Amino acid sequence: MNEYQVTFIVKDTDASARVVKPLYQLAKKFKSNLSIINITRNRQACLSNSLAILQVGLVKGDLCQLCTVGIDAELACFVLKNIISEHYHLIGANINYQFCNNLADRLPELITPSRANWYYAKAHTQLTKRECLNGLAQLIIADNPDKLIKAFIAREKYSSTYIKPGVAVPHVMIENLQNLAVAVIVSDTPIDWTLKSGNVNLIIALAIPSKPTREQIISTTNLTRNLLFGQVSERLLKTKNSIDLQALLMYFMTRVLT
Amino acid sequence: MKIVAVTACPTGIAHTYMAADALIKTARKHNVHIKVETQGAMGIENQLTTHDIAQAEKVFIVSDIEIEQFSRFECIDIIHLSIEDVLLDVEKLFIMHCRNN
Repeated sequence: MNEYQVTFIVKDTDASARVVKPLYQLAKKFKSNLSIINITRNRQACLSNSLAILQVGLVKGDLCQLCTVGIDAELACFVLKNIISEHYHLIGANINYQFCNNLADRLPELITPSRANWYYAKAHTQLTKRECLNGLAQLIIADNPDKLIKAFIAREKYSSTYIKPGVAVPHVMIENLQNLAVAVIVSDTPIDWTLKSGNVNLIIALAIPSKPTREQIISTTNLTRNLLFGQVSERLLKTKNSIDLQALLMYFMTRVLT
Repeated sequence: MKIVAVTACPTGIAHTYMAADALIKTARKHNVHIKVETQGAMGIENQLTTHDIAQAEKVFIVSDIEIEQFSRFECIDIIHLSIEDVLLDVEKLFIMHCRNN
């Protein structure tokens, strides 16, 4: 069954006290499973518990998701979103929001150590690994992707960039690139990434300038290191809204979660 | 038990540091004292000294490429591991190589 999410950042630690009661009372009206996940602190609680919000310990700056699974999940998500938006910074407040390079202007918590360009595509047909790498390169350098495609393929020959079940992170250094580039392809049908380990649904490509600055290296290593932490890779896989996905990725670039 | 490890990967921005994190986190669970040198895009960090190497029982070389200054480890038990082994099943490695200690 599909999971729906509301992704938000805590702007005021005291807001928990005000949101506990209305959220708990509203949550009771739905049949779906409702849970709140504090991704930053790797804590999770079920909203049927009156103290859920307090259990996950929402502290200023924490990245969280409210997740709903069940027959009325979409409606529950829609209703609870209103309460969340009153007290917290909602990421996908507007349905039209897409991947963009100025998300951090609206949400200063997402300012990454170095600037990055962001690209997103959803696969509408079954892709092979090769087609996927082509697509990623075209997202990043639309007019002349050949060099980048070759670099991705060469990197895969060394060893696979499969990182967690369902997630691959192809990454290369490339000349004549000014900023970091992050391209994401999401595919509902799994893509066969390696014979040995398995299929992926989320591919996060990183292209780094060949002479990277320290900030650019830190941004990328923060992101990749965080993929091993807590529920990070699972959250990335399940997050369907593209702007939420970008916010998650940017947030993971800003710090190493412990 | 004391061990040392070196992690490295072709690009030096992802796997090097992920593998290091995985080793450090799991070592604690298995009561293994570990020091990990990373050979990544930021150069060699947390470099292993001759003293570290002399004290260690084993060295994990976690890399799909040749590492720098390999000759340092000639006198101890060397275990070569691929990055994939470490990222996908780090628990198994500690059970295989660091048991009974």
